[in-house]
Amino acid sequence: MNKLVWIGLGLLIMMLSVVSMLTGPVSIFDAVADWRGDRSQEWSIILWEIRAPRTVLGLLVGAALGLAGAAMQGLLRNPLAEPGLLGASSGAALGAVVALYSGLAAEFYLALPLAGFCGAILMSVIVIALAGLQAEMTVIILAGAAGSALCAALIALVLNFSPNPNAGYEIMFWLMGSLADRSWDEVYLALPPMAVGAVLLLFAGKGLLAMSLGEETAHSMGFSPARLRALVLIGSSLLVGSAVSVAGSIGFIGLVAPHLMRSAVMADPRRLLPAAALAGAALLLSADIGTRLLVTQGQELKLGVLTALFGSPFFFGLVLRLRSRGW
Amino acid sequence: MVSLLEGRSLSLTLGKRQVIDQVSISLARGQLTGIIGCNGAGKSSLLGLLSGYRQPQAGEVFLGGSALTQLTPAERAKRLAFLPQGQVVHWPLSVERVVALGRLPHGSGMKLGAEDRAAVNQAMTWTNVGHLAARNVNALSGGERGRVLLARALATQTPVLLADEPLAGLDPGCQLRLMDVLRELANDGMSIALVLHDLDLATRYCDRLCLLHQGRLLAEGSPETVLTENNLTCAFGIKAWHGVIDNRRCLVPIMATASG
Repeated sequence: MNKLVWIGLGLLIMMLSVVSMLTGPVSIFDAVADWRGDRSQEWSIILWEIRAPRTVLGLLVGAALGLAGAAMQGLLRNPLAEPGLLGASSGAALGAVVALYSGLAAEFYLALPLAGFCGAILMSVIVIALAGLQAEMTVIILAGAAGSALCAALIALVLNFSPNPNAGYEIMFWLMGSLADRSWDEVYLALPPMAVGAVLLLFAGKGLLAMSLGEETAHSMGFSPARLRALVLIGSSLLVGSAVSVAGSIGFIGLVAPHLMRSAVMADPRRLLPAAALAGAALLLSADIGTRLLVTQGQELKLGVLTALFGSPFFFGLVLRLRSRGW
Repeated sequence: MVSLLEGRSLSLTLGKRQVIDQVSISLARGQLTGIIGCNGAGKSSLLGLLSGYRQPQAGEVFLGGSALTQLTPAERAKRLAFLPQGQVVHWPLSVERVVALGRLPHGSGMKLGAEDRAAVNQAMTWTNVGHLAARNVNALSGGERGRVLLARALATQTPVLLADEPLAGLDPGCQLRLMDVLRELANDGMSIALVLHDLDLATRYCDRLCLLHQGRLLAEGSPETVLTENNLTCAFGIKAWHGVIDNRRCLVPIMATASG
């Protein structure tokens, strides 16, 4: 049963990756023919330089959000916790907005993800410093909420002050999240912090499992709740910060992926970490394939719109299920 | 007597309230110690200090001769198990999985070795939860869940066990059977401290009682020296009937005197 889940997820991801490589205006057969021929059409370049990084980035961002979501839910012992709770996603959004507004993003195209990442880390540091690692989780959640509210206000302020309406549109579209027009540079940029974050969270797995029985019991079994908080908060900030900075705000993946996998891993918070990462990758890649198929007025549908569109009905379903039998 | 766990003049202040005031306590090998006192007397706080979860403002805790703060968390976890109050399991884990968590201090996580499995099965037998092994722990009754959580603590197989109200919500049969098991484990050399509200069980099963009152140790020693008329009036505001049934001392609270 258990093995089947992992094999199933692996196969699903492979299949989606193939579909992702095949989906788009250029046919893969033309691209292969072009690559084997005189490479005059640049179709193989499209495949390798546009579609491949997009696929990889989709998998990475989805896995990061799923993993961070599972870790935050484990730490807070609450199935409604989401990875952006600490203000990392709103911090990234603020950073990106500042880069767009100041014109930095136009000067140097990696300025946008870099600023987003800095915003995420800065916001997380502020929130963690404000609350302290010894604090009760409600204090940390409150600090995160305060930070997110401040970022939202500052983003609105920047939008209000933006000199031309186009900058406002650009910011709005960025906030909706997208994987369009990304290159390998974004992959290289996001990968190192994501890898560090993922390692930190996977180290926290055992502690999160112990935490199922509460902090005192976890402590008595040799796990320091403060150390666990540090691992999870820093790890998820790195993951969410890098994900949001390269793909914009994408909701629901971090919330839904752990939910989908919880019963498959028999609610074990440790095994949920890799399972939610894989599920997140599969979800995000499917959503991204969806945006490419649903082209509106010459423009792709925004990724965040699609995930929210499918994510919220999932939550309606969850509410109905909780009403009848609890999680 | 070899003292396995010892707290020396412990004091703890939470907020502005002094919840533990200069309490010294020592748990010897092979002894079942009852920690008693009215609500808010500081029993749980004392266990919090002894388990190392809370740091005392003054005093120190020693586990097997070394200061608790000098031990690594992993070393401490192999020698001391703690069952806190409340019966919360945050995720719908299976009963067997919860009990197996007791093996985490021994490095077992995903896969249980033969020794781990034996410890888990033994603990489930002791607390009589074997028939529930595959059930979701959150779908059980409060008393059943309490037994599962005690099994988790017992599966750790540490020489010292601290349990905060392990009998809460258990039916009389279960209470007696569990006390028999704990008595047996103490006879085999474990050192066990329980927070208890049932003074009769405390009298019948415990070697020693520590009576806390307003954060201070009002009395300690054998049940007959601790549960005197004066102490019962002072700490609980009750009068009790003492007697002997089947050669065992017993105690029945019969009336409340003043507010305890």
